[in-house]
Amino acid sequence: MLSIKNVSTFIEGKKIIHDVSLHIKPGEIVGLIGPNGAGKTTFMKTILGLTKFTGDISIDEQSVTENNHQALRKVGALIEHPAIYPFLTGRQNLLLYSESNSDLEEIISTLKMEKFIDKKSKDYSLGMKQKLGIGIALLNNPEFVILDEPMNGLDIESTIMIRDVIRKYAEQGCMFLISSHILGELQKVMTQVVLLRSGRIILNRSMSSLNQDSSKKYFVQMDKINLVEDLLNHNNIQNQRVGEYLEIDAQNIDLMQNLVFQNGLYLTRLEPEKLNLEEKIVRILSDKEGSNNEE
Amino acid sequence: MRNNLYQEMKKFWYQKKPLWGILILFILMYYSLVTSHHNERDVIQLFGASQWTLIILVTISSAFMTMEYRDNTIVTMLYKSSNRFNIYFSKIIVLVLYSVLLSFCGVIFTILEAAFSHQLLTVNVLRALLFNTFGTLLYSVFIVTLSLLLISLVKIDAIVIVIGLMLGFLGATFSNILMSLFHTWSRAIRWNPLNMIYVINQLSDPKYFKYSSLSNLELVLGTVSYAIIFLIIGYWTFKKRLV
Ligand SMILES: Nc1ncnc2c1ncn2[C@@H]1O[C@H](COP(=O)(O)OP(=O)(O)O)[C@@H](O)[C@H]1O
Ligand SMILES: [Mg+2]
Repeated sequence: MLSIKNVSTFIEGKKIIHDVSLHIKPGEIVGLIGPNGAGKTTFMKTILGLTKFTGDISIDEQSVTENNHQALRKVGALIEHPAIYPFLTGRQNLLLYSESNSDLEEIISTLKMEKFIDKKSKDYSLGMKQKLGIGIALLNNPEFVILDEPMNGLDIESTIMIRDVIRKYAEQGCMFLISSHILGELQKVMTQVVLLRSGRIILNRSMSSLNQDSSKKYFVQMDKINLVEDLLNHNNIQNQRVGEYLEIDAQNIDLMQNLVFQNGLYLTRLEPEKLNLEEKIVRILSDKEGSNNEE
Repeated sequence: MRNNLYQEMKKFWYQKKPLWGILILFILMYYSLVTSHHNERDVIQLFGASQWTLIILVTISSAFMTMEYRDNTIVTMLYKSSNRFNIYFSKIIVLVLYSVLLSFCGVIFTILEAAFSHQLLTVNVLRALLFNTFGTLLYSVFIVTLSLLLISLVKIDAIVIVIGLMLGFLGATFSNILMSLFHTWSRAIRWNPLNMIYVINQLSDPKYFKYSSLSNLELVLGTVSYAIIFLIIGYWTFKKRLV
């Protein structure tokens, strides 16, 4: 269990992370999404005790401070660029941090690194380095893994493979915090989405709640559409004509159906508006803004 | 701490640089041999090994620290270590061990070259040679701690190497100029760090006292004290450094 409470991070006296709280439970994969400069890397470094911060960070009830990394014993991380010594082979890089070597071969094979692992890493492609960096983060059966933009430089095949690896570790109870500036990159793997902007969390939702039908508009198709339109307008029910459809707010659906039946008309189709993840999030954010403005 | 030391050892040896260092030491000492007049003094001074050792050490020490920042490995080291002191101190230990190795090679090469050029190794020569080696070793600790301090401060290894070389070659001269210019202050000035370089030669040859104005014991204590001061300031700077 990772628990972050009211954390603010300061770099050279400047506040970069503003009062952020976040909790991650075993098996959860949290996507930290935000544009470049939002503070994703700084936030991750803070969790690793590498910056000056205020607030509380604890992993399994043990506090992380700038000077005490005892709580990080079961944490693996890839921050910004893979941390690799170019004069060592991939295997030697792994061995440097490996505690028991029991999971070494497994990591090499699950990340499909057999072909290049015994070559000097200075000759690696960006993708190979990235895989090795992820491998280092996964060493020693971690309980919590931090991956900063892990999909950088990876081709589609590798991206899919990495997603599977992350899921596999999460199924065994490992927690993940993964950052990206592209929402879609993590959509298929994360269980929770956290949006970070200018050092503040502006949204924190589980994917399951986002996947539940949250449609706010329905599309309705019917015979005699002009009659229905008039009827609705007459009764002050907001609607919008879109070709052969009428667009109606969710809360007015029951009212509309009653009206239509009472007048001897009938619907041929009624379907919720389909939004993709990005559209849903944009809508939640704009609603939030609206309600904030009303306050 | 054991983990850190083990990691530093491994990283150090897998780099080819330390081996190159030894090879270069040999070549430079051989160069000193062929350009020398085959006298006892060259043997006692280990065919210039002290000076070459210092150059090699400055170069390797600064590279050994800057490499961690070049490939972001510092991040992994920092979060995986319980504290920053272990990292800093492990590096220093590995580099000091390397200076021991360099000194040892220096002695071996000297004996080989002396034999090769048919020079007699008397007990007195051997004794002087070993004192010089001990002096070099003490000054190596000074140089290693200083190099890591400079790297923590200026972050660019090229600059550190240049400063290191200037200290190595011109430091003593500069210190003497200072002492003669500010004669009345020389009691204090003789304790300046540049003056400590005399620890290399004075232990075997008391004549150097007239340049250093410090006794053997004072030189040894001064060198060790500076090394400790450099270690403390260096670590403190390293601790404050952002990653
Ligand atoms: N070492 C630093 N010195 C000064 N400012 C920094 C430093 N690191 C990060 N910042 C600032 O912190 C903000 C967040 O940066 P970062 O965490 O790298 O964002 P992200 O990873 O989301 O792209 C940026 O505005 C950046 O300018
Ligand atoms: Mg970043």
